[in-house]
Amino acid sequence: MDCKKAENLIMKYMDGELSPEDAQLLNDHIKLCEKCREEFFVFDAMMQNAAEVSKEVIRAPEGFEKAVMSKIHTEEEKQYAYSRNDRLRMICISIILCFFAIGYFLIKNKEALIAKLYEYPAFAQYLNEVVPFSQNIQSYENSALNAVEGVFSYADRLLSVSGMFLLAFIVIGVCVYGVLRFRGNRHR
Amino acid sequence: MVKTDYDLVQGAMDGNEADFEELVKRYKNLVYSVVLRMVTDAEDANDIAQEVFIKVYRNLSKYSPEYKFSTWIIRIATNTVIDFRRKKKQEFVSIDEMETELPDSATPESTYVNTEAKSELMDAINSLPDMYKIPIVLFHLEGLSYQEISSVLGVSMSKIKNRIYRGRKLLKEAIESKKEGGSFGLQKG
Repeated sequence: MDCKKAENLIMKYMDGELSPEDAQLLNDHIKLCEKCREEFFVFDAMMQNAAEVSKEVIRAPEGFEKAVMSKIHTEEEKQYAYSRNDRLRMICISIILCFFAIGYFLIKNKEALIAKLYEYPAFAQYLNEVVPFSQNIQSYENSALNAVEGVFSYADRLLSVSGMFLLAFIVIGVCVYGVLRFRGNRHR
Repeated sequence: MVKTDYDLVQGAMDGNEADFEELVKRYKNLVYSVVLRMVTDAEDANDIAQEVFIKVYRNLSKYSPEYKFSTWIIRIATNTVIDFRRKKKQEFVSIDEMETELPDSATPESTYVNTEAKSELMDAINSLPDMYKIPIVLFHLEGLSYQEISSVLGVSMSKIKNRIYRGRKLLKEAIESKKEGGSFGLQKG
């Protein structure tokens, strides 16, 4: 048997997988080969020391569980505070988006809405007071109102173009809010 | 009836803290022992072992009962040690500066020889790169099989076997060079 094979058998010995036949072969070889014999003794001593070390019972320090649980509580509190802030932020975003949506709806359907409101006497009276007043203002501040009207018509065009985007923002906002709320509940 | 590890995982996921605490009680010594043998410093080992359990808590939903809980937790522990080492700058210390604790039993002389040999082995193990050190610690000191180490590290059995063989040779060289050259600088984990 050559030294390469002897080395493999030493490794098998260290793995605890050396068969009696192989043990005999290795024994015969190291009797004759000084280099392999020395190698075997170094590895064997290593094995014995490793076995000694592995027998030593290592215990986690006192209060280990408490320390872990306390860290987990701290982390959960942070997580909860974070998710609460997230929720607050999302509520604000949702409210703003809702205002945009309502504003868009009112601007888009203002003619139809005014016509509908005229059907109710109380609103008709109110509108009769407001509309002449606005017409009055218009007569005096025509140029200013034109500018305002310009802004409104621009907003109207913009909103009709980006209506779908607005709707998408609302849907995304609601989804994010839902996810954050779910996360918050899970971590509690 | 004693709850299985998986029962405790399920309980902890449902928000039962006592179940998670029970898991910590069951595995704290294993985790601490694995970590301590890889980093040697008790304070670092304590911090890392605690971090392991926090990672376990965060990832309970990823545990699959087809693996032993011990295998899963050792995998998290070894990854945490590797991350820790990446973050921390490596320090060089002399063997002479290392402290060894002597047990009360045994005669002073035999204890000295025994402790010195074990300390020599541990120093040599700690001088190995993680690639060899981790499989050596898991196989020779923690008693895991090749199969278990393969699932812990997510590396094939043949690679694990090669790394352990190579690691043993490096250990032998380190021990021999220590004997020939006296005290030598080691990379502390």
